Amino acid sequence: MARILVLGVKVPFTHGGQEVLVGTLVKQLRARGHEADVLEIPFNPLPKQNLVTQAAMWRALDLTEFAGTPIDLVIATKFPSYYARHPRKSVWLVHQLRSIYDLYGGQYSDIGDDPRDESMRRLLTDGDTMALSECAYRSCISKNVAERLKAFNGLHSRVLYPPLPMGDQYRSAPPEPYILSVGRICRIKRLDLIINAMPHIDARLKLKVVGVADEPGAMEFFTNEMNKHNLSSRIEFLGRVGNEELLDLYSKATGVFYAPFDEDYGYVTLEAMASGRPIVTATDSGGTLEFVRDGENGRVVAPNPLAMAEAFNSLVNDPVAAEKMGTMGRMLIEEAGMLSTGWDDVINGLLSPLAKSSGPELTKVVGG
Amino acid sequence: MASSRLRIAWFSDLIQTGQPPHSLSQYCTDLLLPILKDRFEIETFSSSFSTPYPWIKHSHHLNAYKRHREQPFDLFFYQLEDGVPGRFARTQLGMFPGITWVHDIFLGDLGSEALHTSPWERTVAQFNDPTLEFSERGHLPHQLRPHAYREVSVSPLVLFSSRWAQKEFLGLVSDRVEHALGAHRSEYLPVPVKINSTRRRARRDGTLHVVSQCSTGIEGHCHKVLQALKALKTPWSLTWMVDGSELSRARALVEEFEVASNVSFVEGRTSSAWSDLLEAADAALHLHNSPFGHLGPYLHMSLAAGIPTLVLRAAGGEELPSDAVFSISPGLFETAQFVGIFEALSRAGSKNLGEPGRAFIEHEAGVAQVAKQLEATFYQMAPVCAEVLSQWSALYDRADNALVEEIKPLVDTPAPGSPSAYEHIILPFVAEVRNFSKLG
Repeated sequence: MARILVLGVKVPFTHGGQEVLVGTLVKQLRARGHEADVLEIPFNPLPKQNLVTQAAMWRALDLTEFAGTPIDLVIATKFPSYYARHPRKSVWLVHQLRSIYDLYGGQYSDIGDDPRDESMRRLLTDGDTMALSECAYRSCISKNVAERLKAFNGLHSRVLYPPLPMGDQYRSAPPEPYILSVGRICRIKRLDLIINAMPHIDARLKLKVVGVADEPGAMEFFTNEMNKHNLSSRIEFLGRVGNEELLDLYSKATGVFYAPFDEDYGYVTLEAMASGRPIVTATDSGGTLEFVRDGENGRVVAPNPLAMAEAFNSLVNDPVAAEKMGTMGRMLIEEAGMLSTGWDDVINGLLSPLAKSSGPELTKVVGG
Repeated sequence: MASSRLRIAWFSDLIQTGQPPHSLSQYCTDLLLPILKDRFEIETFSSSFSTPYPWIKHSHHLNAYKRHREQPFDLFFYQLEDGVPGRFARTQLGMFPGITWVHDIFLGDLGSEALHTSPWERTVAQFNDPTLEFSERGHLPHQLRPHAYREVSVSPLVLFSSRWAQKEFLGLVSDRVEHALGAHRSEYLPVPVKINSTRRRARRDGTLHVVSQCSTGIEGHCHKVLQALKALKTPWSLTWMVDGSELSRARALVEEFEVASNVSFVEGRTSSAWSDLLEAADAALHLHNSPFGHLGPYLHMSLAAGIPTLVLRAAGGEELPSDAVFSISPGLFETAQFVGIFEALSRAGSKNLGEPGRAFIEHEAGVAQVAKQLEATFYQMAPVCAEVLSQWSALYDRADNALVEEIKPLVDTPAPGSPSAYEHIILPFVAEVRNFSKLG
């Protein structure tokens, strides 16, 4: 059995897919008899020059051993955890620093054309290539993330879809008249799309929002959007909920809204499918499109409130078709091994460097 | 063996494989690349990972610095136009100055978010004066102004695809550019067009076949055209290419003028559809001149096909020689002018009244001609660009150092005698990454 460190990046007071993924991975490793633990360093992206500091801090960590006890393997997850040094480093890439890659130039990036910003972008892009190229095993959580890694850093990787955190517990129940939205409340998740769609959606449907804001001003913005349309009686912000309540909410939703901008993967999509509920996403939602097929197991519509409204109204107006979409979604999840069974492939991949008799010497791989 | 051909980094919005061009950059690139690829070592850059031109190396624009580091380019070439697809080129121009081919001098679109807080005026000033320090963070820079000030400031040579826009630049913009990389130079380089190799033969079925791609708004002057066509004594037909969003308005107009039986529609404006329409046309209408002077590729296509072409004598339309086109002066007698021209064309029989226009455009904007001009421009400008890029690289070396200096106060408040995080963590990290980059 091996001693394994899973490297996470923690933004204090937030909880999202990455935290779920790290927690579930450690649980699965321990269930297989490994000694596994999490190493997290708090992440502070402001001011933006601090991004270099964050990468440098991880780079300063040599995780080969702690207090004389060797670490057999580290598994990095997202920027900048993969900068840590270890001769047997696996990466299961959740995402890189997206503001210097796919989000660059858009509203979700604060990197501008100041030569110092460009200098930082180049430094961190080259740094990513350096740190990720020295990994003994490289994988990504979705095709979307793997394609970015190939295009921007020239590095190949395998795709290992994360199985669902609550395994076989997802269930389906007769639908109740509400739309469910799950996820961190921040601009890139585009909750405003569904809030602004609500006036055009069948008045019987309410909106239940699970999650907490993790961006300054985000909650105020969305509350303002809600009040603007006088929707306080139709929208309920539930905050963070327990697992059992979440399973219950999924199981009875008429449909689930999940339309972030160019998502890496999106647990919500798969959790909705596992619960047999139709999911509504957007044509530019990235990773969700690896699973959702419009009209088959959900709806894929333009990222605007009217299109969202039309999609949810279609679920209400044709409940038979909606139910069929839910069933198809559940089938896809079962066939793809996204419930409990999928973990074996993930663990085998991530632990494959252990099969080699000795890891590469760090001094040889640094620098290319 | 190293190539002696100039290496060009070509930034342009690119067509999607199998799709017709949807922007001037796409159109121009599609026509010019097949010719220029044999004369230069060209690599394309766009905001997409993929390319419709597998015979040319292509990269995402954010990887341009890596390609330049691996195999330096002699010059950077950008096509700039208003709107979202061209945003990346405007942004990238601030990273590597180069020759620009400006299709819109008036930029209504503010550009990507990366430019909204751009300190470009300071950057250009620093380029010219290496002693100037970087500005403090958080200072709101000057507002971007619409006349592509930033873009022309970082361009050693600005090419304009419209004479009107170049005039506008020389008259209104050039003198107001306070910071620029050296002296301003501008030239006219028209939108290229393929010239038909076979001369068109006039039709003899007795009907005047008119084709139009004018918009349905009042600026398209279609109400005057419909009025004039209705007044004709001889048989006529009109084929009208319109965007889907305008189709119902166009139908309503022909109903209103009671000429529906003479008019057919083609939905969707594309260059290939226009080319097909020209095959059977006796006259082409180009009445919707951009107030910013651009004549667009369709007009050139009509002239190149040898079709008598009617244009409005306004904005860019004024720049065309009177013997190459049939000009209409906007105003009171517009309808009468249309009637007169249509009647003349109906009477023309086998005489090809479009030949002067064809000869003009072949000399002015034939694709071979434009490619030749661009080739000459690249060779002429290569030494200037080399000097600019070298000086720009020195500016970026200063930026590299300034960035690292900015980090120092974020990490370092060491007690006397204690280790400094800046020296022990930040500097080794930066050095390691830069060393990795150098080794490739």
